[in-house]
Amino acid sequence: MKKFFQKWMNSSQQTENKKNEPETLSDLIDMASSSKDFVRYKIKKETGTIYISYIKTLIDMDTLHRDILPYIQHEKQMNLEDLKGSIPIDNILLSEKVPEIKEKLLSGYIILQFDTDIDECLLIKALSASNREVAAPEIEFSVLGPKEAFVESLDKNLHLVRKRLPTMNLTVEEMRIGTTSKTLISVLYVKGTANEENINTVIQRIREIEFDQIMDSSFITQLIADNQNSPFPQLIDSERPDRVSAALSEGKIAILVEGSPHALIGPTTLIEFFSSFEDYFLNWHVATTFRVIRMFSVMFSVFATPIYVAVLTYHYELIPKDLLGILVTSRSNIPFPPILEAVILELAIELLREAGARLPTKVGQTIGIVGGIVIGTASVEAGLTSNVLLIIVALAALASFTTPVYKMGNTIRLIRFPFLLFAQLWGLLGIMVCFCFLLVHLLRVESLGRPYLEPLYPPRLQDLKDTIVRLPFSAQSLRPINLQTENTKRFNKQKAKQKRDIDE
Amino acid sequence: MGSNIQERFRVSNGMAFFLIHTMQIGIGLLGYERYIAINAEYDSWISIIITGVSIHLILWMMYSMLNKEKGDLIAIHTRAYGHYIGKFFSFLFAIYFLLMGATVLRSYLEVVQVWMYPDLQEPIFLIFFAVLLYYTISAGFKTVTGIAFFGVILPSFLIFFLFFPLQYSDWDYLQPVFNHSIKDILLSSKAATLEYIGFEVILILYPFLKKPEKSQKWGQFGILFSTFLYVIVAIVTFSYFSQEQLGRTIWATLSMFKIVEFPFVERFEYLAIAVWALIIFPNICISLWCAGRTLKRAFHIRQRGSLIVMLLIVYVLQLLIPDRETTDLFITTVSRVGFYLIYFYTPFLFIVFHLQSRRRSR
Repeated sequence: MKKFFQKWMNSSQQTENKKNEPETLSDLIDMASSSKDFVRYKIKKETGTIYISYIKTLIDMDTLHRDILPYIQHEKQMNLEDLKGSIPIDNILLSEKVPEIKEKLLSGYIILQFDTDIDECLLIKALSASNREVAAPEIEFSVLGPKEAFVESLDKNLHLVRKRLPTMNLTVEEMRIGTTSKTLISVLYVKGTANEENINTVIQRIREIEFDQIMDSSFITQLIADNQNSPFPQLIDSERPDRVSAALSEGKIAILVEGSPHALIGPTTLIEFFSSFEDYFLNWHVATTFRVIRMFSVMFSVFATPIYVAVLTYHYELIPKDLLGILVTSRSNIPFPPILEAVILELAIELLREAGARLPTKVGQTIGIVGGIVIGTASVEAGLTSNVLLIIVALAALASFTTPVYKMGNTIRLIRFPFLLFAQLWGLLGIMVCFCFLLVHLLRVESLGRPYLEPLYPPRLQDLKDTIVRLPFSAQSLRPINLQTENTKRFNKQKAKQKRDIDE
Repeated sequence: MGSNIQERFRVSNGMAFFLIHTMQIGIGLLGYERYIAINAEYDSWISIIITGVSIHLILWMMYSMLNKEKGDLIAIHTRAYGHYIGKFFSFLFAIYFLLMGATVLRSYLEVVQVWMYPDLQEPIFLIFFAVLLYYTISAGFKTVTGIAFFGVILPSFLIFFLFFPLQYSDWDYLQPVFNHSIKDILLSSKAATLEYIGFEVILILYPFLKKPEKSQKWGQFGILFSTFLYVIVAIVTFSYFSQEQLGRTIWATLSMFKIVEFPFVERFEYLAIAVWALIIFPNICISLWCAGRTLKRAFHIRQRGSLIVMLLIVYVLQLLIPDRETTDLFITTVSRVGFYLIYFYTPFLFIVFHLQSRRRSR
């Protein structure tokens, strides 16, 4: 019964598909004509009539007028082969496969025909390139270093990466995904360095995507993630070509999507989300200090308010005498229990952030100032919240913005709420239970099949050189074990470390 | 048998250190000083060392069996006693592991109830905890090992807070050394064994190590580190409390944390108890995982199913135990079983197994 039903469904689907698929070129032209931006006209000559068809909103008119039409009108061509020879554009296709012609028409090709009855035609690429110029990175801004960021054009993005890695081993694999959008997706890796298994995993997962439209690379992140129910991002998205190139030469794999100014990098680890590419532009002492500060700020951001709630709800004994006085004064007029106070303030901060992000930049700034200063001060003066908590919440919000990867910053702000709930339920013990949940979750998450918590667990001391601390470049001669690269050496350590004798 | 575990489910040899060490360190560390000092009094740190040495020997026996069989306890049992009796003994072990997990949880909750929340709503808390346990164990041995690893690394900062009581220590309490009879010292040693039980899990998880034959040194290191920890804590405690005081202090280690003081934190033991959750959590996970694994190997029961049943049993057991006396009885019974398992059953199995395998090979 079930089988029969499936068969029936399949057959009905097939007929439906067939109805939509043009069988001959003239069918295709008929179908396309229903759209107003499809153009078709003929040029009569002594040798015959040439039909020209294209979608005018997709193609570059200059190319048509300058490089194609003059050659058609002034020269004598008898057939398509002649025509192909006389037009000075490379990569002209001669095709009679209707599906191919359809696909090309929809991606900015011009169709040239002699005879309307046969399917054979010439296809000339004349896609108009309308995209913005390469600009400075806005999300992953850095004071030092290159000021280039990806744009919405795949070719331009590939150019930005390739000019940084002039090697034959940099391989680009292309595929089209999305039943409607047919988005072009490129998978980049350095052959001989990147692990074969990782490459195959990425390509296989992308090929298996069943989705109608891929509008941005973040669609891909969610669709190929190992654990789609995890709040933690499992691939880094970066808008910096330098970061992507560095990751590629390290042995990682990058995914670029047509129309998306963000590349995806994988496999990755949790720690990597807290390292900014600027860390490599500074010397290692400074970079290490910043990374440690970032780690602490993340911990502070997650635990500060829950600990406040836990201590004030259950464990006043923890507070020393001198500090207790300040807390009592600040809380004496507050009518709410600590949890309510904390949730209200946390939500207010989230509100400000969300409003600031949705509004145009100029209005957004005003909202931030009005919200931050006016509402904060007013609520303390009105006795709705204590000023100690206001300080803690504001600092925690600030701390969450130190994460260099935007998506991770969001996650950090989200996981604070379960901690708040548990802190209200069982105080410090609740926070520990919630922490255990978080730890187990992180242990379970994988990025392209590689452990997410590496090098902390499984412990790999060698990989610690570029995590919470960043050791000098001379100590970074090996590629991370986590990537299981085919070639583990980045450079020759002996040569780099060779020391000269005194006065030599 | 049992060694056909896929490579991707295995953990590296060094993890044997964390797995064994974390099983030995548990709730006992909070208050073992009083029990071991009953007989040998302030000489009992010697007893800990004696126990430690004997445990090294027992672990060696276990490894000699495991290395020969290249499998786990179930395979050893089958070789030693045959099919049916072997399975019966394996079943007893599964129950033992289950009860061990329940004991650890029970004794931790006792500390929590006495020190932090006299009116903890146990039924609700335990539901959350059971979900946490299921979430962990169902992810497999690798995750359980990860928890064991973090359960050792993350709380290890607590040891530095022993410097605070050291400021008030009186070393005369420990003098004179060796003024107790051998019998007293050995009796204290017996009391100290309770702190070491739990390392039997190696019998079950052995095939899950990458190169199990070479993991013995890590296992022995784990025991050595436990001994080190117990001796250090005992010496600090003995120098801090007078004998009379110690006799009246149930959780001596916790009481010592009380004097830790910072400008922003007082009553440090509250923090210590919360952090202790991270120490006992891997304990329970490994015990329950081992129980489930034993049942799976011996009776081919799906581990997911048995895990749910076991969590229910643990849940009900926690609620059934009404008062301090029953808790104490429960804990002492389980630890006594552990004692006999280590010192009587293991050597017995060691002899039977080697005799049997020699006879077979002939």
